[in-house]
Amino acid sequence: MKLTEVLEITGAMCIVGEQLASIEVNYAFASDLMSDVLAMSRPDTLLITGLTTPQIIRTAQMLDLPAILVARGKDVPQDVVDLARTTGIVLLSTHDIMYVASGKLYARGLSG
Amino acid sequence: MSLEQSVEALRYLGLFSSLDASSIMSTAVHALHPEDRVAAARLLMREKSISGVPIVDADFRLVGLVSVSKIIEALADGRLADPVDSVMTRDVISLHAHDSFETILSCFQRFKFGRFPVVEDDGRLVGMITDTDVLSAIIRSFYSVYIHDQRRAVTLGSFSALSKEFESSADFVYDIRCRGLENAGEGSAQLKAFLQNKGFGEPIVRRASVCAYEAEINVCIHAGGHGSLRAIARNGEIILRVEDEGPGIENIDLAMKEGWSTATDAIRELGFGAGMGLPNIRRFSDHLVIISGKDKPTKVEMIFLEGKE
Repeated sequence: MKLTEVLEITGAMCIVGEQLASIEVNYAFASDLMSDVLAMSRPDTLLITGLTTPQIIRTAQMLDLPAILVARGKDVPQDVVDLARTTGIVLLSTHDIMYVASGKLYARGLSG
Repeated sequence: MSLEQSVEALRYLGLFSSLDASSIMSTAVHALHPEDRVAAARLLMREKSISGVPIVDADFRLVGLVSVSKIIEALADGRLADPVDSVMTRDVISLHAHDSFETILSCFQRFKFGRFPVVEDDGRLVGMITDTDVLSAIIRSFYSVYIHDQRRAVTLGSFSALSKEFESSADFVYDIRCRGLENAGEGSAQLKAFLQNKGFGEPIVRRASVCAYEAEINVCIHAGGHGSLRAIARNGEIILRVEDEGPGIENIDLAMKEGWSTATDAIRELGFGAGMGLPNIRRFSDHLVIISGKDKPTKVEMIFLEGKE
C-alpha cells in the first residue's frame, strides 16, 4: 500500500516526509510497546502508535521501518520531528484512535 | 588454557570474587580429640564416608589431622587402641575463613589433598573444604550466568579470549550517558551507521542494531544511564559488548522470561519496560553471554554471524 493511500484512508496529515509519494508498505504493526515492535523485525512495515517520544523514531530506525502513523492526533514534540527528519523516517498523524486507524487500513488490504 | 590463564580469566570476569573459604566450606564437621582412640577415627571415617578427620583441643583449636593412610598404617601396626595423638599429622595445611577462591584453588593444586580444614584467626576449626565443596560453589556461582548457546564452551572461550581485545582494539566505542530515556538509542544509531559503512548486509545490521538498542535502553532504565557500547566487526562477524556499573540483574533466569520486568510505570508509559528487552536480544543474536548478579556490573556480549538469518 502506498503511503499516499494511508493518508487518504485515515485522513492523516504528513508531518515529515517529502519522500512520501515513492514509499510503499506491505504490513502494519500497531503498538505502544516499542519492545514488541522490535520483536517483529520486518522492514517494510508501517508503525502505528499512540506514543510521541523520540523512541518511536529510534525504533523505526533500528528496524528500517519507512514510516510511522501517530494516532489520536497528538502533538508531536519538535525534537521528535527533527529526529524523524534527520533519520529520514516519514511521520504521519491521524485524528483516528489506534483501533479505528488500524481497522480502516486492514479493511483496505494492509495486513498485519 | 593453562591453570594460570584460567585463574586470570576468573579474576577478569569477577565470577567467583564473592566466594571465600567461609562461604564454600561445610560447617557440619566431625572432629575428634587427641586422646580419642584410632579405632574411633576409623569408625567415623567409615560411618560418615570421609577420608580425613580433623583433631581439635578442648577449645576446638585445630591440632592435627588423621587421614586414611595413617589409619592403614595403624591397622598394619596393630595400634587401633592407641590415642589418635600418636598417629595424627601435626603440621596440617589449613585455610583461613577469609581466604579467596583463588587461594583455595591454588591450595588444591599445590598440595593434592582431598580436603582442607578451615580455621579462624585464633586457630579454631570452623569448617572443612573438599573438592566437592569447591565444585558445588562453582555451580552455585554459575547460577548467575546465563548462556544461550548449545556451543556454550565455544562462546565462553571467545568471551574470555576477547575481553582484552575489547579493551585495546574495539572498532566502535560509544559511552552511554543518558538521563531518563531522552537520548537513549543514539549509540545504537551511531553503531548502525558504522556497521552499514563497514559493508555489512541489511539483515545482520538490523539484528545487531535492535539488540544494541535494547541493551542501551536497559542501561538507561536500570543502570542509571551510565555504561559503554563497544563493537568488534570484521570477517562477517559482529561482536557487541554492552557494560554498565550495576546494580546488576539479581535473577537472570527471570529476566530472560518474556513479560518479566522490574521497570517502573513511568518507563512503561514511554513504551519500554514490558519485559521484552533480554528476550529480544536472545531472539536476534546468534550467541549471547550475560554476566551479572545482585549489586554487580552487568556485561552483555552478543555475537552476530553474517548469513545466519
